[in-house]
Order: sequence, then structure tokens, then C-alpha cells
Amino acid sequence: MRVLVTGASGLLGGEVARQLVRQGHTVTTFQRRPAGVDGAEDVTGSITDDGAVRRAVAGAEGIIHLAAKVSFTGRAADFDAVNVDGTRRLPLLDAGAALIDTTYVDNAAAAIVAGLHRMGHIAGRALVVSNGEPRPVGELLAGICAAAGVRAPSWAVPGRLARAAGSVVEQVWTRTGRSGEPPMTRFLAEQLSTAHWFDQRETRALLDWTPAVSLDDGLARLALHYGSYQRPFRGRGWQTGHE
Amino acid sequence: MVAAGWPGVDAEWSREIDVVSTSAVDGTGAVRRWHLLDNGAQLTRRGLTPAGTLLCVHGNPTWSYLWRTLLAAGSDPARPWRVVAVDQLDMGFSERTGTFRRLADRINDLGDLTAALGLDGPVVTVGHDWGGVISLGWALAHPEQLAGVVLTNTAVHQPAGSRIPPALRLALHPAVHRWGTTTSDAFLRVTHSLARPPLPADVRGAYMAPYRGGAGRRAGVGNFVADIPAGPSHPSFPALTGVAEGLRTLHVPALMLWGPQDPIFSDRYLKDLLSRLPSATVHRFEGAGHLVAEDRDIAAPVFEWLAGHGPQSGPAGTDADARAGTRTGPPANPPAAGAPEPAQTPPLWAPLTALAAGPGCGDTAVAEMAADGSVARSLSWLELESSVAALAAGLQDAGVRQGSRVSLMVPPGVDLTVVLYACLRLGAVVVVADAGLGTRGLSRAVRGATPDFLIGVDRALAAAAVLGWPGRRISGQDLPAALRRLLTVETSLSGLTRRGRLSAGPTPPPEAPDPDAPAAVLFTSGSTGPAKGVLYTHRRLAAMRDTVAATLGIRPGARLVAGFAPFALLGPALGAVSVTPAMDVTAPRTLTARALADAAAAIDATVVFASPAALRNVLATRAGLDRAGHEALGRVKLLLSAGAPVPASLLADVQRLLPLAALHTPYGMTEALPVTDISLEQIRAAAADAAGTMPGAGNGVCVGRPVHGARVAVIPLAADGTAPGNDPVTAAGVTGEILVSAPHVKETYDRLWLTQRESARTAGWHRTGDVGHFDAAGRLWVEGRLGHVVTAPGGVVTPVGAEQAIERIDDVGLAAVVGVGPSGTQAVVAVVETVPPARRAGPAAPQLARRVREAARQAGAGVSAVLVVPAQPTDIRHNAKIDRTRLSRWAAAVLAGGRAGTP
Repeated sequence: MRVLVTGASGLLGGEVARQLVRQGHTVTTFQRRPAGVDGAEDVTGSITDDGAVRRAVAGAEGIIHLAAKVSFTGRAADFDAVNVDGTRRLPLLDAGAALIDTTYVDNAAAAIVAGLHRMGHIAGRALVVSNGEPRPVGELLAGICAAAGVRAPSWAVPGRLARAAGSVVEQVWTRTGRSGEPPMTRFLAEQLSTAHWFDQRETRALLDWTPAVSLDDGLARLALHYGSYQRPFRGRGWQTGHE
Repeated sequence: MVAAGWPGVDAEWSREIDVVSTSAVDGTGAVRRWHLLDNGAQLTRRGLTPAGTLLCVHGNPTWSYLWRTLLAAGSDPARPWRVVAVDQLDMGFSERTGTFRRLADRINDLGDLTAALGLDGPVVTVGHDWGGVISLGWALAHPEQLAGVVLTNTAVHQPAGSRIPPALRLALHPAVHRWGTTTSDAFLRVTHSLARPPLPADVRGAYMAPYRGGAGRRAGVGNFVADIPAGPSHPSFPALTGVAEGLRTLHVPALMLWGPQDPIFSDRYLKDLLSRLPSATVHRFEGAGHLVAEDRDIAAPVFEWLAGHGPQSGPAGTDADARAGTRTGPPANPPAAGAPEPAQTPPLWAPLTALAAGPGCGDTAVAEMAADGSVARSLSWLELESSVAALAAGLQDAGVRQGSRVSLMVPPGVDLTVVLYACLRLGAVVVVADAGLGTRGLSRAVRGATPDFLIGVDRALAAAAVLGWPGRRISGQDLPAALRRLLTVETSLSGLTRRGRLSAGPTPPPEAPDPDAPAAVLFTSGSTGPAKGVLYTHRRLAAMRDTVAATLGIRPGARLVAGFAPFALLGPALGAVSVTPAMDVTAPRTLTARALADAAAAIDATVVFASPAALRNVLATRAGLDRAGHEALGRVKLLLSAGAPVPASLLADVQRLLPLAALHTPYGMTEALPVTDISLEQIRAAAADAAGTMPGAGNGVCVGRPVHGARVAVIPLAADGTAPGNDPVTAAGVTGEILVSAPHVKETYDRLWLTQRESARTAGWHRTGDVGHFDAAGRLWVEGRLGHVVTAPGGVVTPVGAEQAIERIDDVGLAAVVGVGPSGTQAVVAVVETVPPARRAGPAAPQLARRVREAARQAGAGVSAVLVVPAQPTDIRHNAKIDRTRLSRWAAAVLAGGRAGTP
């Protein structure tokens, strides 16, 4: 199948494109920066440019659209820094007990690819995909930090306070025209202090898909990934010490 | 004017009709306009033929709106019924007549209306409040049409010597009456506020709608209150008495749905109605109040009852219903195959009379120990028999009859044994509820059982006075005169016994009661919902005795130390000598090793019964034993423990103290005592099998094999956590709801028809609400309660197996596994106590969480979150069963974010 993937320079988009290539599809990637996915034809351009979009879409039998402006997407290398650094500097909100779902990136990509093949079942529907293994947010952050070899967040802030602070920070960022991720936004504070986990039964039945990588396996792979880097983070030196 | 925005009412139902009135209060030829809610036209339009008519009569100060759920249910094409809900004259949207209509007029009015409607076919009357009396009046006047009666919160009689409820007295007071009921809408508002949960604003608005617009709209409300026959001189008293007495001649099926938290129509009036309609089906909705039709769904029970008892049902109704709340009819649980012929089962006290007449009649039968180690009181068989006979005569003299309910609040010992057997001899129904239910639970239980007599120690009588429990008071001990007056005590047990001996002489003993007559009401622990009264007949109590004797080998000649009330009472029934050790039986932890040994030595005991909490304390105090004490305990051949989970380690420690004793832990519940039995050896063998490869072994607590005469099976669990279907199985490894069938299983729940139906819906079996499975050796393993099963997306998770695995981790104490989130996709959450205990409740540290998850994974449960608590919340009665509902709610709150708090 000829498939167009937008946003393939991102973490998720890149993985989706790679899985499609492995499955033998003819893949074209389209986004502002080069995607660098082996076996895919890369077209750079902005989705706001009608002509470029038309050219990219021409001949495609399926389109996977991941070029959206969402926080915590960006270059893979950027993601590392943001992921680890950002996580390390986060406080725990309230007791850090809010039960949240996450998804290991390979599973997310596989679900999206499955969706491509199950269009007949899912056309017109909105589905939430997750690993189906909700965990308290504090535990997840600790797990990610442990995988990266840094200390888990150890200071706690009441959620209410964080949400208020997030609003203020957003205002400051907007008014002063700063680029890059604000350290705290209201949205982020909400995501960290309230529960969000999802019933996966219908999603899995419709996509005929189940996650291949469990959360524990995913964290183990994350640890391997960081282990292969040996580079310091922001001058603080390589920190070991899993808590 | 009609049908404008009444939530829940279909506009098609509202109609008006002109009726010629023949009531005395109207002149001849008067025509009155009635408003009704009637689904007849709607049924005709849809081509449905109703099975009969429900004639629904509201009370004061409501209107036909009250019955809207019945109208909706009657329009269901699957089982159409015509429902005619009237607005009485001067009420609702019917005509304001300007007359004062008394009860006799009202009954006649209803007859005029049904004549004008041309109502034919079978009619079932439905009534609430005043509408109850009025509909019954109609019922008595139309016997050829009447097919049944349904009553909710109403009354037909004010018992002599008692006053009408205070709230009504207030409404009747001249200074309050006119203003409260007519000039203002206060009476209406107060009645509407009785609903729990509170009525939504639009429903309240609908109830108020016909009574807005000035005092003229509310004259009927005031007149109804004024027509309450407060005493024999009231003009409507003869009409009310006519209905009340006429009820005794009514022989149609009757259903009573009651909201006990009603300040006006309390359980006293339900009891009175039951005395007039003894074969009625009864369900009390604990927690519901006066407006029971608003507080609970009554449409489903009414239509279920109609299906089983209405005009087209079979001759005796379904057998699941036949016994509920009644005294006649076939048993709900037929005896298991192979049980002895029921008609020949000797009464519970037969061994007692036999021993009293035999050569050993001077031997000790029952004894009580004093704190210093001596015997405080004891009776020989002959003395026991004569005390029982004398007290029975005295009680009979005081008015206790067959069927009288007697609440016993006397601590276990000689007195309790004597009074219990005396009541059973008379065919009175003993009501047993203990302080383990908590004050509120106990109060609800006692009031709901409506005892005629209350026999208790001073503490219980004081509670009775403060909490207003019904029943004539009899004290356990003799009380000083001042205290007697304060607590309104009529006499004492010793007083009655003296009276009984005096009035004796060769009076023949009372006839043995009918074996299928109620004998006792025992209350469940109320740890999952309000405590339920469990009714036993004489036959079933005798069967309980027989199964204990056969399974455990306790026969005449056995000598029993009973630190547990039910066992103290079974002693004489088994022909066994029984002694109560020196302890506070309501606090099992107060039994010391010394007290146990003294009691054992006093009667040379061969059997001991003690709860796990008592055993723990005995072990903790064993240093206080001397050589004689050790020897006395060394002669014990059988030790029984039950009431809470008994760990094998505890039993092993007990074995060291009682080296010759076989240690047994029977499994059962108030509804079925016991179900299975297992010994320490068998527990160890089961554990070994669980570690091995036997199919089904493990994942729960092994409780052994069914007791003598019982059959046990399971109904497999479905993915949604219920046990649908009606085919019990015993295949190894299949998890499901545990069912038991035996001659000693409960007769029914007391006045809880719906609950009884649920528990007996698989014919011949009692559904226990516990979940478990069998192993390949035929042993039963219990995995927890049905209500505590977690419905995770991967399948159903029963808590016990995972909990046991988690508790094996070092530095973890008690663990509980609960579900959080919507049914079918719940997250499995483990809540643990750490050793040493954590200071604050909240999420577990990641290390601990990992270990707990791993342990649970090996037991087959995927745990999402692990929470830590300083101590698990437990129930009051046993202090051992974790309050999982509370835990589940707390876990859900914590995992939703925000502060942790405590469960």
C-alpha cells in the first residue's frame, strides 16, 4: 500500500513510518524537518502549504497524520533532553497517586498501523489507545527516571497550587514571547494530578490488536536505551542510583 | 390543567370522569368529578390485553402521582396490567367538594368510582397511608373481583393503650392543625421532605401542584388529619375497626412493601397488619422511609409478585416464594437426598428431657464459671429440665404464646440456656441480635423484628428505654424497684420461674410446636449492608443439631467448654454438658488460658469451642497456667474454632497447648451453620497439594468437605462478576458462587421477600454470596465474597488468592485486593499494611510496589496500583473481616488524585 505519514520526524511518527516500511509498504514522509526514516521517501514542507500538501498526498492510498502541534513532540534528540530533564525537575503533585495510562511507543505505532488495515471497522470513530496498564503517576515518573539513571522526583506540591502556577507560567511565556516548553502548564498540572485511564476492550476488539510490549518491558528497554548513551545531562554529570 | 410537566407521567394517562355519589355526606343525585391516572386507553390503543387491574389509592397529602412507576410498568407489553390510580375527592386534581368526608364516605366513594368506570376482571388493590385503609375497605366490599392486596406504609389499628405517633399528635393539636395542614402548606412540605434521598425539585413541584392556590385547595389535607381515629370515641373508629377485623377474613394473596424509617407508620403497624394477614409476603426496605414508592423501586417487586401470585399464576405460586415470610407451605429448601425423614426429627430439646428422666439426671448439665476459678452456678439435668418447665409456665402466664417474638439480650450462661429452651418449648420465636452489630445496627435489627417481649440485663434494658425498642420488658436479674420503674420492667426471669412453679401442679406440658413453625430469628453480622434477620424453624434447628453431632461426633456424654454463644445453646440439645468460662462473651479477647483451663477442669471437658480472637489471647496468657491447668487442657479431645479466618499457624500453636485435641475449623454463615468442616491435618495436606500439581488446589482458603447431610456446589462466574445460570457444578478448578443445600439451612430471611428470592433463585439451593471452587479431591476452597470480586478487563479476579500471596512477603501484614473503576474494566488495586505500620496512608514506595505486583502476578492477578495503610478498616463484630467496600471507595478516591486521607 502507498502510505503517507506526516510528522515522521517526531518520536511516534518515525516509529510508525519504520513499522510500515518493515511491513513492506511504500512510505512517503512529510513534515518540516527531514525525517531520516530508512526506506521512506521524504518530502519536506509545511502542512499549512496547500500546494505541498496536495503533492504529498497525491497517489496515497492511506494517510497517517501525526504532524500536530502537541507538547512533548519534536526531534528525537530533543525528546531525550526534555524527557529526562523535564521529568527530573517535575514535582510530585499531591500524593502522586493519580492513576494514569501510558503507552509504549512501539505499541502506539503498531496500533496506528493496525488502524490503517482496519479502516472498515473504525471509520469515523475516535479511539483511545493505551497499554492498558494504569499506574500511579508517581510510580511512572520514578520508573522513567530510574531507567534514565536519575533520581526520581522527590518534592511534592499540592495539585491545586501546581495548576494555578501552571496558568501563571503559561501567561508569562505567552506575554514574553518565549519559545520552547514552559516548565509547567495548567494542562500538565492537570495531567499529573488527576486520574486518566481508559477502557481498552472495544479499542482492542476493533483494531484486532493488543500491545506487544508490557510497561515493565518498555521501561527495561528504556533503561537499555539510556544505558547506551553515556552522556552527561546539562553539566550535572552522569548520575546513577536507582531508588 | 392536566399533565403539564409532571415528570414520569405520560399525558395519555390523565383523565377525568363524572361519578354519581351515593355517600352519606352528599345529597342524593350529587355528581362528583374525579381525576385519575389510567393507562387503560393506552393499552387498548396498543392492542394489549391486561391481565387485571391495579387499583391504586394514595394517602395524605399526596395524589395519584405517587403511583407513576406502576403505571409505566403496567404499560410494558411483556406483561400488561391496567393501572388505575385515583385522586381522592378533595385531593389531587379531583373536585373540591366543600364537605368533610370521613373514612366510611371515602370507602364508599371509591366503590362509586369503580362502578362508574365499569371495572371488571380481577382487581388488585394498592394502598399507601390513608389509601391503605380505604383500598382495603373497597377490597372487603368487592370480594368477587378481588385478586390480591398490596400495602405500603399504612395502618388499620391503633393498639390499645398506646398513643398515636408524636408527629401526628402535633398535627392534631388545635393550635397547629388548621394552620399546619390547611392554611399553610407546611404539612405537605414536611411530608415531601421525608423522602430519602431528597426528592428532585421537579418531582417535589409535581407533588405540590394540585395543592397550590390557597387554603381552599388543601381542605382535604386538613380533613384527613382530623379524621384520624385517635381513640374509640372518634367518629371514624367503627369504620376503621370494621376494616381491621374484616382483614382477618381476607384470603387473597397480600404483599407488604415497607419503609421502616417512617416516623408515623413504624414497624409496629406492619406487625399489626401481619397479625391480620399472616400469610402475606413482606419486604422491608431498610433505609427507606414513609414515601417508600419514592425511596425505592416498588414497581419491579410488585410486578414480580403479580407474576407469582397474581390471577394467572399457578395454584400455590412459585416455590421460591411459597415460604417467604409465611408459616405454612412447603419448605423453600427441600431436605437433601439421604437426610432422615423430616417428620421423625425429634425436637431440639429431646436429649435434654431424655437425660432428665434417665439415671444420670443428677449430673451437671450446664455451668457458669466465676472469675476466681470456681463454679459460679450449675444445674443438673433434672434441675435444668424443671427450670425450663417452670419458666415456660411463667412466661405463658405472662402472655408468651406460640408465635410470640421474644428478644433475648442475656449474656450466655445458665440463664440464657434456660430462657431459650423455655421459649422454644412454648413455640415462641426467639430473636437474637448481638452488640457486635453496633448500636445503630442492633437498634434497627431489634425494631425490625418487632419483638413482643424483651428479656435482657440492665444494660440492654437501658438501651431499650433510650432507643425506644418495642416489647414488654422482662429483666434477666431481679432489679431494685426504682430501676424497674425507670426501665418499665414488668418482672424478672426469677420472678417468672417462681410464678411458674407455683402455678404448676400436674399441668400438662405445652404441646410440641409444629416443626415447621418459626423458632428463631438470628441476625447476620451486617458487614455487607444492613444486618438481615434469618429465620429458622424447629425442624431446621434440630437438623443443625443433628449435623453437628454427626459431623463432629459430639453426642450425649460429651463435655463442652463454650466461649461462644450459639455453642453454649447447642450443648443441651446435643445432650452434652456445657460450661461457660469466665469471660466477657461479647469480647472474645478476654478469655485467658487460666479461665479456659478452669472451665475445662470443672467438667472434665472433652470439647472446646473458641473463636480465633479468643484463642490468640489464650496463647498469649498461657504463662498463667499451672500443672493442673495443663493437664485439664491435655484431656481435651476436640477443639473447634470459627467466626473468622483461622490461620494454620494459630492452630499449630494451639495444638502445643492441647496436644491430644483434634483441631477443626468449620466454615459457615448465619444462613447455614455449618457448611463444611476441616481439621488441621487436612489443612496441611491441602497446603501441600496446593504447592504441588493437584488441579484446583490453592488460590483461596481450603475449608474442607461438606458436613453430614449437606451438598455444596458452585455456579460458575461470568465475566461481569455475577453468577448467572442455575446449574450448579462441582468440577475441579471452576470458580463460582458457592451454593449449599441441607436440612439445616435457613428457612427464609425474615420479612425480606426480595432478598429471600434472590438467595433461593436456584431451586433447592441457598446462594451463599461467597465465591470459591473445588479441587480434584473434592475439597472446597473459598476465594472471597461475590460482591468483592474484581472485574478486570482480562477476566474476573477473586481477591483471596492474590491476598495470600502478597501477605507472604516479608514486612507486609494484612493485604486486601479491591477493584477501582467501572465494572468490566476495573483496575486491580492492592492495599497493604506494612510491618512496621506506615504513618500515613498513600501510594506505596516503588520497591514495595514492585514486590507486591510480582507476588500478585504469580497468583494470577495483574495489579495496577499498590497503596499502603497504617491499619486495614475492619468490621465491628469479628474485628477480622476487612471492610472492603470502604477500602474500595477510599482507593478510588486516592487514585483519582488529590490528598490521600485515611480509609
